[in-house]
Amino acid sequence: MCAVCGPREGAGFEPVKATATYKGKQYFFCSVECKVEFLKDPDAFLITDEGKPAPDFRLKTFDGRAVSLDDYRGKVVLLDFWATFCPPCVAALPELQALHAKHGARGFSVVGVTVDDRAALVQKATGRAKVTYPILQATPEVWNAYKVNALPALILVGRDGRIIKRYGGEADKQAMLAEIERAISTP
Amino acid sequence: MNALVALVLLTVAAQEPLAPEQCRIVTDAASAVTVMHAGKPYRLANEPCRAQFLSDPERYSQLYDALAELEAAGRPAATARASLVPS
Repeated sequence: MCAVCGPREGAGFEPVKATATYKGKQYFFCSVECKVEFLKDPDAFLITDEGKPAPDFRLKTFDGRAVSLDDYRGKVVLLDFWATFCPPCVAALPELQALHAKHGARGFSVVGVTVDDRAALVQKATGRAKVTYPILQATPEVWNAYKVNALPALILVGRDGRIIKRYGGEADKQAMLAEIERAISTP
Repeated sequence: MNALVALVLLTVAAQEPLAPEQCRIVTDAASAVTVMHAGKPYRLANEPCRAQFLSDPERYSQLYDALAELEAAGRPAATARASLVPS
């Protein structure tokens, strides 16, 4: 439960089954259970770490290559925490690949971090979406460091290595695209 | 004297806020309280539950309504925190 339905400020891929209002904003959930979880401790879901340094990591791709966030210093990075059991995450892969391809020459990269350890499923999903950006295997330390408590979780990191903003998926798409453009245009 | 201290400690312990699920269960009519929010009554277990509710009525009224919805549907709310791993 709650694996894929974080609090979203807008309708996403999944049908909305419940809504809640907190501090004047409306949030959408794919189940009443998720709404209950959210209302018990909303601040745990609404993480505000914008402007703080993105925690560094060193993770492996499924073919054993080590990749660290530091490898991307000076670039704008969109970290995509996802899993094959999260339908909105899988559905977003082609668009993330398109973003990666479109802005790659301007110092932008998507980096996928999957919490899924099933290599075959991951490779099937990324193969279908023709993903060329790195897909890393998350460790509990990394997703704890990034406070990922719902999927999808997209975290935009600026050229200075600081977190610009977090996004919850499709509902935040337009805001995310605008922010990516702004970040890429910032020297 | 020791008995008095024990009584005070027991009373304080009994007055500690409960989890929202427990606040909805009234086991002792004498300690139960009712709060009104948006014209709707919410019957709660005790005074700390009322204080908790009144600290953020909008949030807790939605939470109690959602818990009641789950209860009516025969789906108890999960007690564990949300997990990334599908159950």
